[in-house]
Amino acid sequence: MKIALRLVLGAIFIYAAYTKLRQSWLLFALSIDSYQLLPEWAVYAVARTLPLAELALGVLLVAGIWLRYLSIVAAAILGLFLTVMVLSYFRGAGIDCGCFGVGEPLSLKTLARDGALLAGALVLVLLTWGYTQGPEPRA
Amino acid sequence: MKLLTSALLLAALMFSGTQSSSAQSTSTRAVGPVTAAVRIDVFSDYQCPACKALHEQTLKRIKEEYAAKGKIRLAHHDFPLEMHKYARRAATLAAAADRLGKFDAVSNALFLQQDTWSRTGSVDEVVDSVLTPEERKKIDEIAADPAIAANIERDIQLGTRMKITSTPTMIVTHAGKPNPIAGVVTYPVLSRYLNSLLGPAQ
Repeated sequence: MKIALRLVLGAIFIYAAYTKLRQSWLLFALSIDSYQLLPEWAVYAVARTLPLAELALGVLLVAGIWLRYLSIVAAAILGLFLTVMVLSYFRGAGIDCGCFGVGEPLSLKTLARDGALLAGALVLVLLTWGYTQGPEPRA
Repeated sequence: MKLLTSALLLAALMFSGTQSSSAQSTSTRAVGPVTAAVRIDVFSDYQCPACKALHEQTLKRIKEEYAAKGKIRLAHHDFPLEMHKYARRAATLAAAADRLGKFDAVSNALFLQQDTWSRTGSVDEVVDSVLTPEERKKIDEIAADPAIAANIERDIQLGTRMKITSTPTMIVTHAGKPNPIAGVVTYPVLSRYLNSLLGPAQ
């Protein structure tokens, strides 16, 4: 289950990065700007760095490197995304999600999808930190 | 199939903008050369607060700095939402005002006084305040023309085909590729994006 979770989450992060990197970074900047949460300089900074961070995180998750720490990073990022999306959705902002490139409206469907990914990341955290397996057997 | 659909929708967008500008040379619903390398099609609802914000914070400047200078084509499309009781009347009056070359005056006033008429329904009074009595009379006659309602309906159908689900939504088209941008974006970020599309020779 741990392997499946990290492969799925890793692949999704890589795909999310790919959809942003294949288009102009300024188009992603417009998606971020439409959330109306960040000042201009931060919009540019996030638009430039987030796709690369998603790509790096995805590759490392698939490779299974530093899994204990990266599972926490993945859960934190997804938790942050979900918080921002929920706030914007219930504020009534008719905007794009910006999750996988342009053209996907922020909706209950996108919230449910991000919630499911967050749940998966949290399960991965629990599995990698061994909370569901009880104490490790002594050698 | 997807490519064909995109091409047809693009053609529909281009035709809709051309139609409004060629029928009346005074029209300012669509500004900028038809052949511009970049075009923005804005689907907007006069009663929607986010449309007011986008219009006042961003699009007025985009119209002045880019469309009026011939760098891009900026076209307005009506997309009155069912939930907004007076939006269609507002769209009708603005479209009628366009035939008299008064689109900017009326649409600016409608957005500026949106808070008031959205509550009271006094759309006509807003229009009265920016036109002469003669112009106002003409606009009432033009607004009764079935072609005005038909044009609004055509805009709604076009937006629906473009899968627009909320207002405001801009479709920025460059090199034949339409990119939808929903919600309110700021002038500096949109301007930087347009500059990147137009290149250094703008």
